[in-house]
Amino acid sequence: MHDLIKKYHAGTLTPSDLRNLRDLIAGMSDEELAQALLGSPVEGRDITPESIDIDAVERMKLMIDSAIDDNAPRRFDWRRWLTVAAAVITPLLFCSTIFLYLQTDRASRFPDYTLITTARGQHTTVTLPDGTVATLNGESSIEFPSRFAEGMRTVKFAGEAYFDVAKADGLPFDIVTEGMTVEVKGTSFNLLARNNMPTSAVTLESGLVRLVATPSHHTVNITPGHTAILDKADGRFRIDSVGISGQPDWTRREMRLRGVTPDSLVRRIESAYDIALDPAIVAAINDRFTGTLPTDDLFGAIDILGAVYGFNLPYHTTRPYTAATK
Amino acid sequence: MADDRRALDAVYALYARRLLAFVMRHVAVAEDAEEIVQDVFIALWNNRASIRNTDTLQPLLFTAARNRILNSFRSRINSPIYEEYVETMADSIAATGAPAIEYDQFHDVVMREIDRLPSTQREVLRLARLQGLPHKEIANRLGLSVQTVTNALSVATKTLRERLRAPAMKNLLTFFVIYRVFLP
Repeated sequence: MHDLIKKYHAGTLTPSDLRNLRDLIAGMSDEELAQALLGSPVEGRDITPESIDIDAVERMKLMIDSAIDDNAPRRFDWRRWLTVAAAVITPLLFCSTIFLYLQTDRASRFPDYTLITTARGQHTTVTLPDGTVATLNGESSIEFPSRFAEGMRTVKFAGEAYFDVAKADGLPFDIVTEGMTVEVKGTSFNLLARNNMPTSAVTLESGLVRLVATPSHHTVNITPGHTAILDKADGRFRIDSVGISGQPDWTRREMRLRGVTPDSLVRRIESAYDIALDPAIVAAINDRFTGTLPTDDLFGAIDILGAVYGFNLPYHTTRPYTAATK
Repeated sequence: MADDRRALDAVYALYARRLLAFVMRHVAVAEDAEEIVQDVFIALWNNRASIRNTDTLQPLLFTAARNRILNSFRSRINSPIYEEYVETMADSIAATGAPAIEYDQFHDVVMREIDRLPSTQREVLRLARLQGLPHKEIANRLGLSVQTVTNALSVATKTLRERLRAPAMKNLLTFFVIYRVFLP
């Protein structure tokens, strides 16, 4: 070590000396290094404070003075001033950022919803934001957002409607009803899902839909020409074959009836026109009925019934109904 | 403030010679020794607020000087430029028993040669060899790929080594020798 330091002072270290020296000092503490280095002073120098050149003393003093003056604080400290300004502005920016963020978030979390409701005997056709067309029968309601959220199309529904769902690249279309959710891929079907009725039914015209009962999670897929009937009491589906008949009767403003009982016939007419039939007409209907009746022409329907059951109603003297039920 | 300044002048007048004599016993190059003493007094000035007892000033100054001697020794021994110096001087030491130029002058020549390198090589060489950063960190800082950093570093090192050992450099070294012999 002593020799290596001597060579270091003389500037005559060889590359291998340097490697040795590096290895040696790498393993030394400051104290050990101090002993080794200070124990081997530069050779051939006999220096005392008195022998120091006055020029060197003055030269160093000049350097020290200029270094100290450089660091002296200025009268107006821009950096300090900026620090204070930043301290004031930063919290303000922070708060306004959070405020704006929450505003945006609230707007997107609670989009505007549209609720469309039909009265008894009323029909309406609604086009949803994605191009899906829903034809609503009487006493039905559909609720949908003004803009569907990213990656999903969900509407709430109660009543009866014929849906023609727009195809959208694998994007599901979900209809949430009492007791079940209808999952659609782009198809046409009739949905009967009235609140407070023991069953709901989906009749598929084309495509494929999946039904999920809530909360039982019973799931069925239905194919065209089939009706799935949900029994809300046990949350299970039953599938019936109905044959493909195109859009349901009610969308064509008529009802096709096959062997319906007098009671059922009266109820169907009263429901379709939102009236109570005259007791004389009710009394005249005494047998099962098979045929097609219009749902938007009450007098025409009564004419047909008159021809079938053999009664005559003078239009100008007697009304075919007593009062609106609701 | 003005009082502080007068106090510093007094302390300097009292200790400057003694400190320089002490440092010069352990640092061969006079300029290096003077720099260490300057640093000690500048640090004393910057930390004057935390000095309470002026009786302890002498050990404080000498301890500071001692630490700076150790630090400068350690960092020089581990410096890549010093390694380059030792390797470049190996021939002249073998021939004449003394280095052709002193380390300070060699250091200046190396710095000048680094400045002459293309900018990317120059930056990469500085960060890798003088600041000792890992290649990945350099790549991040300069927005280069790690491979580019590795390549630039190897080209820069090769160029620098060739220039330092080229005939022109030998002439430069000769010039220094003549300079030191005839114009002391």
